[in-house]
Amino acid sequence: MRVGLLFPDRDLDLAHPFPFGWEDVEPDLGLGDVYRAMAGEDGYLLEVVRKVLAQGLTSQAATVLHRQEAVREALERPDLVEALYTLAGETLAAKRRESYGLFRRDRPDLYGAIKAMEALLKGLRALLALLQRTPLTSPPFQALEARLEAVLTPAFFRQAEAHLEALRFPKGVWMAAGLSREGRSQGYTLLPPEERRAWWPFGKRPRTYVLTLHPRDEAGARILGEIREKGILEAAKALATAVEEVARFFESLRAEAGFLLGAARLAGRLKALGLPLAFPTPAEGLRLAFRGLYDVGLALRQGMAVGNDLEAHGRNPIFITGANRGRKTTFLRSPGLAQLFLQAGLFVGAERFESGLVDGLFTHFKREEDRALEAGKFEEELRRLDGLVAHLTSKPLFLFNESFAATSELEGSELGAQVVRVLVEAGVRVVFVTHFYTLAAAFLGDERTLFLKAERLPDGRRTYRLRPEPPEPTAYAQDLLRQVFGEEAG
Amino acid sequence: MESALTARFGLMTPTGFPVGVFVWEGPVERAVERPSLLGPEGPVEEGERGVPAHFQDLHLDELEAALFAPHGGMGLEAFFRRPLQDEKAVVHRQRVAQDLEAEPLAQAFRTFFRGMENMRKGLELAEGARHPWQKRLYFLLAAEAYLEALEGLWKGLLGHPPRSPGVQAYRAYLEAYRNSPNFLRLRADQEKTRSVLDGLRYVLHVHEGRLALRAYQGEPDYGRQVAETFRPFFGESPPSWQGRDLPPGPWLNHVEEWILDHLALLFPEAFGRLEAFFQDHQGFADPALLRLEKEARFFLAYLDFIAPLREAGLPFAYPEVAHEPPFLAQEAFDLVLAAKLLFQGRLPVTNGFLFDEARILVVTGPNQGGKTTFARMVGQVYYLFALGLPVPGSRARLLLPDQILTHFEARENPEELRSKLEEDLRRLKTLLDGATDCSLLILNEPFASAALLDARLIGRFVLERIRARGSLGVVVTFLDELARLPGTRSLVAEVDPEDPARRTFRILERPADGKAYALALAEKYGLTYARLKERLGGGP
Repeated sequence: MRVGLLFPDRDLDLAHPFPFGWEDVEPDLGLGDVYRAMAGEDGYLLEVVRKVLAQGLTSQAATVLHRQEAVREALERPDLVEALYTLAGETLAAKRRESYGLFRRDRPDLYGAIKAMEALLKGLRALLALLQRTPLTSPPFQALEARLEAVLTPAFFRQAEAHLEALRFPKGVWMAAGLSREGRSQGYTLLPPEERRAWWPFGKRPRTYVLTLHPRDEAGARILGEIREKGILEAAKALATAVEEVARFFESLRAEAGFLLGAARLAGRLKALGLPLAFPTPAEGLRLAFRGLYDVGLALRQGMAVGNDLEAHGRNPIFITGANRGRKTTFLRSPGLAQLFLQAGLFVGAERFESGLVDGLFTHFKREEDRALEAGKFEEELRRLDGLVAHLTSKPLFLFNESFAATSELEGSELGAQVVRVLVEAGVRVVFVTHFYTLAAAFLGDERTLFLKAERLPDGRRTYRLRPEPPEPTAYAQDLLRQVFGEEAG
Repeated sequence: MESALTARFGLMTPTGFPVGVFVWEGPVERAVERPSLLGPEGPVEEGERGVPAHFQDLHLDELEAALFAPHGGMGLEAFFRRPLQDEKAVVHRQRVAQDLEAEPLAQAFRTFFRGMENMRKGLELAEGARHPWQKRLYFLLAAEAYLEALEGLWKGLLGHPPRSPGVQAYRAYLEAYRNSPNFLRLRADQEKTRSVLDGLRYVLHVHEGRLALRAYQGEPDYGRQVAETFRPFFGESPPSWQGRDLPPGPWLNHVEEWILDHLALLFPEAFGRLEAFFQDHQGFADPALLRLEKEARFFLAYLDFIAPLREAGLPFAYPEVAHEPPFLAQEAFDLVLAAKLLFQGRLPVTNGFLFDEARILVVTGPNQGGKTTFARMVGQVYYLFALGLPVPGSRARLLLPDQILTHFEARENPEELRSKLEEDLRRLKTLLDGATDCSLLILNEPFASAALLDARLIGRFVLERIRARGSLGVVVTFLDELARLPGTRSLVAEVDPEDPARRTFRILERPADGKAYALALAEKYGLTYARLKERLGGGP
């Protein structure tokens, strides 16, 4: 039984490991604020959100579009996903309570399995009722409802409950067996409980022999107990397996509904700030275009954000140069987060966003800490880069933020240029923020390279927008000096 | 008259005659010549044998224990203690051994052994079972093990046709046996009985201290129904269970016994068959095939023992039977010692021996040089040859001895009234009185208890007597002048010329030079006269 809200063909697998370098991507892109908005204090939800975003990097267009449908529904009906998430969590908690120790012994505990299944059936009933009384509009939700309706018929519940009743064996256990070579019984199969008058229409009752134990025959009682255990073993196994499988369904439901809940919360926060949301268009190849794209994390932190427009189809690499305080990091985070959200089937913070799908996301940001390690900083940068290159996927997005700044402009630019060239030739999408003029200038002759610059008005003010402009040899330290030191700086 | 066989298996012939010491002549055996792996004339007589006198001296007692430890209780020692007098039998056995050296045939026999062991286990359990029906069930199991053992052996013999007359005779026997009416009936009855018993299916109802039993009427499998109800939720690979059940002991508890008793009432036809099988097929094991197991184990016990030695590169050979000298072996070694050395990761030094006109080998040399081992080795080689087995060595040509007589140093018995020397002499006399020109005498330091002068006298006397008898002899002694007597060949235990303290364990044909090594040794330690004088600062 599939939940199928996030994927068209399977369920979310939380056991899938994070891609290489993910632990750096999160702080580099400022995902902490996004996570807080989506998951709040819920540690489980945080894990789910992280996993879904990370796994999104390998999504196909079909998955993206499918999930966007589910996210749309979640945005329209946040209380539905909240209710689903809560229901799944409560059902699982009840199951755990009843079936504690279910798997601990070497044979399954039948009674615990019965109670656990009762809790799960209750959850299934509630789930179906919840879906049926909500007017669902998206295919993923509708398909889930249909799947459940097909299975969770009144007949199913009748049968399931009848089994749970029978498996308590109020009238004892009937089992079939054969004879082993040494004269023991073996090959036990559990039989349905015998009805008293079952024989009447079919002639006389078959010949039966009865052994009644002496009341003080403890050994005999023990032996009968063992026979009974062997007989119910197969049924106990079957029920225990069923319990685990239904529980697995609820685990997936909890995770997937949880993610959608996070998405709804995030959308809620952004809408409350009056910021636009758009469902992006997944494309193939080197396509990139957006209008009003802003840094979602910054928006959550500051309560406001500036949007940017761009059309950059077929352009690679992209260099961002400009003033020192031009919020260059934000210029990297905006498309980075947007790409991540696109791949995860979410909305993005923009009026419009289109981008080719990638299969990985890598960041190489300058580390501010460890000033004491000045001497080894460059080496550390290189080592980090080496690690990333070793784990490169076939068509990733690679974001560089002031890389090689630890060394001189000449050397850093030379190295940087080589690295970028090789990556671009290998099909990697590169966005490079740098204050090294020489590095950017090395690509001036290349048609496919796009140069962006942080806008600076004639009077020196920053607009925090990007403009497509070639790099300039100076970084407007003048402006900064004037700003800090006032008229002294001249 | 109760024999070991009757006591063990409770076997009786259809006429009520116990299987005893007399060779059993069943109907099949009369049709085919009575086969045996041990000789062309048919099986040897059964019965225990005492340990031959020379076993301890030649370490054959150790070898016997090592060979038959994995085949305990089969009485194979009796075969090991009876060397052959008839050279045709020796050749017969050698050819059997060569057949069994082939791994596929050996494997077929090993499987056969295992099946027969299972049969015996089943018969023991049947014997010990208290409950009549369990007794019959174990009996059926025993018969099945027997049939399976024979089937495996037959397939093996077909797949790897034997070349020795001994194994071929058994194959012919087995073929006739498999077509005999008795066997066919046994197999048909077993198959039918087993199939009927396997097909039984019954219903147990357990509730509050009561157990009800009836025949199965085709009711459905409820466990599967439960699983079916929840199937829509099952994923790719649902969890599986590793149950850990302790195996029960061989006997039934009282509930199981009750069930069996009443199953017999519910299914009289099936249990009737079982009863009939039990009654009709007592003593099903064919004595000739039981004998085959024993005889084949004898050979394989030995071949399995020497296999690791072979693998380590030590040679084994089938000696040629000879009546006239030269009698020889090349690159031979003490088998018991070799096994011990191999266990320590070492190999023995090999030596050869040769008897021609000189029929007495006199072995001299330093102590611990391998002389006694050499003497033992000669004895072992002759004895194993007389058992028809492959012997240590790359090549051998031997006389089949009528006796092997040994005289190794015995411990002094302080209780004895006579002196040790007198004791030794009396023993020697007994030996010499019985020796013929086909006997092998092995004497290890027989004159050690005498003073030098006496030893010389006695030594010469004894050697002349041996020569007069014409026996083959190996005499280890410190008296190197004996090596110069006529009719002797001198062998010396070698020392390393560089380091006289080191033995090489090679026994080489050389004139005895008893004193030379002692001097060299003394020189090395600065103990010759000249050196001592030097060290002690000259003299008066």
